[in-house]
Amino acid sequence: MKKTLTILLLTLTILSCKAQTIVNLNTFNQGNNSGKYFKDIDNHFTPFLGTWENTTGNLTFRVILYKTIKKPFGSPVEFFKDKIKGCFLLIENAGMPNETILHNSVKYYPQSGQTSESVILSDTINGVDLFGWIDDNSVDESTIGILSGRLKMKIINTGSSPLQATWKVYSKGMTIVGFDFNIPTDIILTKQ
Amino acid sequence: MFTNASTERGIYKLNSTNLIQNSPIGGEGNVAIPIPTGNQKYEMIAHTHNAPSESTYSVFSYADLLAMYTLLRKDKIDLDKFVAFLSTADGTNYAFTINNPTQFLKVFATIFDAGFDYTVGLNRVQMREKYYTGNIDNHTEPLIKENSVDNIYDEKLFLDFLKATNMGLTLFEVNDTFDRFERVTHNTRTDTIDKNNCN
Repeated sequence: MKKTLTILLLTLTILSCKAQTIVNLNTFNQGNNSGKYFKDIDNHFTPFLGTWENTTGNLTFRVILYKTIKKPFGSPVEFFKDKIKGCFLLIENAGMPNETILHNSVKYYPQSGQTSESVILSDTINGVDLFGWIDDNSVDESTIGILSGRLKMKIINTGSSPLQATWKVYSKGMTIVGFDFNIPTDIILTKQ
Repeated sequence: MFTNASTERGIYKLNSTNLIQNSPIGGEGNVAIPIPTGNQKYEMIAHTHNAPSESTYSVFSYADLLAMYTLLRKDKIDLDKFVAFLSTADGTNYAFTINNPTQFLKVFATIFDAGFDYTVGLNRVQMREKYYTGNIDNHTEPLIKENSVDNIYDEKLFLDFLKATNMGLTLFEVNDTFDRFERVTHNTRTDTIDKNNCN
């Protein structure tokens, strides 16, 4: 029985691997996406992965970006993509004895039984420009809930250390008066 | 409307008055819609996608739909009468009605909402990835592009997006004088836009 299950699992794995064609992430939407795995073949994600911070006064905005491999899209699954996901923290007096975490984007919502493990979904095809989406769940919950917007990061000193990047959060289209992002929307982040 | 302006323009009508009012302009030159007070609800919201045409969508943007969802979530849309209009620098005019508000709310619900359905939400995120994610500047391209010059192709894609997300909206093409409406669907068998006159 165990041997049968192992053979079955192995067969399914082989079939699954053969079902996708591995292509460069930069070919997404350049033709038919079906059956493809859009992979970060050139490791352009690497410069962005890790922890980034901006400290203004006693307030630190910390962003943590990590890679997820072969994320399925579509139901039934149409294609796979490598993505950069992330979360953020707003911290007062970071690193000090009186450090206070004002907001952690990783949060459990009892009303839906879900946890916001990641609030950033993005990628890059050149290791310099990152584009994607961000859900700002640090806004006033009672009036706004969660505010979604576009995210752009651009590394401005490639090859240097520590890396620095512009961070921009915005809405591309109609907005609601008073529904403003609570997270920084136009700052420079430094990689830690 | 002022589609040749350098920023979006918007007008709206509430159920409490016959006045047509101007929408404020928010950041990034986008129309910003106020949350009505008290029992007031929107009967109509119209906005433009401004010039130059290669910088803006010929169809509703993802953010446009998200804003309408936000208003519905706040119970600020008079569903019996509501129409959303769009006029673009690409020369297109559209309108949509919310024929299935329950579904529309479900599609855009987040984990903050008690009615969040993980499968529906995930599908919406994935279809957003396919149709709207990307940037014309040095990045992978979305299917629906701001710099597209093929309005019909954009319309088909937008209809596909509505269908793929099961959004609960009905889309209409509108003429330049806004007195003729044709309900549109994408016939994927013939790859044409099917039109039904609503006048």
